[in-house]
Amino acid sequence: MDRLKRLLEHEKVVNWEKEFATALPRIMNYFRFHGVENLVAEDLTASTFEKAWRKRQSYLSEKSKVSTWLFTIAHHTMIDYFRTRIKELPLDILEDRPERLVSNSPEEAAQRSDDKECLRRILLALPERERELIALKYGAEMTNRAIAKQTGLSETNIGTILNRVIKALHTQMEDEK
Amino acid sequence: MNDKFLKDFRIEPRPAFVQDLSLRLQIHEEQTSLVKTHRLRPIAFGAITLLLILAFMFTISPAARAQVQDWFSQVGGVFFTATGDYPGGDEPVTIVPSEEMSLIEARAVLPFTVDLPVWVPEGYVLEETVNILRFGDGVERVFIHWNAPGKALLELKIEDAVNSNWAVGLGSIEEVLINGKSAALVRGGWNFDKKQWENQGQLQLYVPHQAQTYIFSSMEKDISIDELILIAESLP
Repeated sequence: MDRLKRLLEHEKVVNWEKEFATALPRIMNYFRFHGVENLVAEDLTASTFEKAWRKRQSYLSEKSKVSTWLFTIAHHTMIDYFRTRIKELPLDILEDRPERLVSNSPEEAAQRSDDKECLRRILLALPERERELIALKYGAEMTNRAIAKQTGLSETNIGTILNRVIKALHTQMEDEK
Repeated sequence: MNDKFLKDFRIEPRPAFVQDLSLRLQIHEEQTSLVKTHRLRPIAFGAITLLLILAFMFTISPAARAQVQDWFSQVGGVFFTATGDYPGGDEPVTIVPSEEMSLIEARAVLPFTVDLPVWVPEGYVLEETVNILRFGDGVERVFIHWNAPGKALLELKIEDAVNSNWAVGLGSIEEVLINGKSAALVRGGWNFDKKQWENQGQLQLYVPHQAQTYIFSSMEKDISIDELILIAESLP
């Protein structure tokens, strides 16, 4: 009964439309910073919101903010995506060409020559933890404090890792040019 | 720290994508509104419907009476109330919490057999978990989903009853045949924001199966009526 009361209460308080509108660009960019192409990022974003919409009755406002809850769903969606893709591809392809993990539509093939495509491939080749931190910082536009809460790492540790990864990314980008 | 190249990597979502996603979420909204409607116990709802019919029969003309009887219909053994209004009225909305579990667990706890279609359109993959709703009067409903990248969800809703009275929009029902037997196809649904029935391409196919009602739902742009019928026909 208490749970039902809580559900009724948060149903009144949470403005889902507003929460979703605010989170949509951040979640889509979160996926893009994981190195997937734009159409795949849209699919994963849609999947995240559909899951969230169906499960919104299980969201408890006293446990976390809506945005935190949405990014947890996005994170699991991303893990599922990469796990499935890895199962579908032979190991030697993954080792040689990590960029083949993503789709290859004609529309997006045209992007390949530009800097963004170059950065996307470099991001895709990053170790998972580093890529996640970059995606949370620049895709989800989270502060280091929010990332610390989300990942369980310390703020200092996050700052150090991000600094190192950004420098490495910058160098790699320069080398590619 | 020069991170401009990372900030420049961000993009805004395409308006067409935002619009499409909004449409895809509407099917869930419409399904939620039906859950809310069915807080009314099916038997009580049936009794209210009968009383309304009797009241009309005594008070209005034969011509009008004939039309009213059309609004309460039975198609393919499933009862419908076609209405232009929201049948839940202005009473406060209650969200019935659902239980999430694997299909195997659901099959173990539900008092009826859960059959799945053998065929679904290419690309659709069954979700690992299902949701169960339990109403106070013992009626149980299970929700099973199939996903396909970039496409609207395919949902199978199974209600452990065959005598429920489903609220639908006026003129939204048509009869179709599933393996030669009558079933009901309903177009559109209740828009909870606009407080009106409308058709934005939602399809729902109501099929009596064993002692339950199986309802397949999706969007016509991704799953055609013929495909929805094929899915239902592939039930064991």
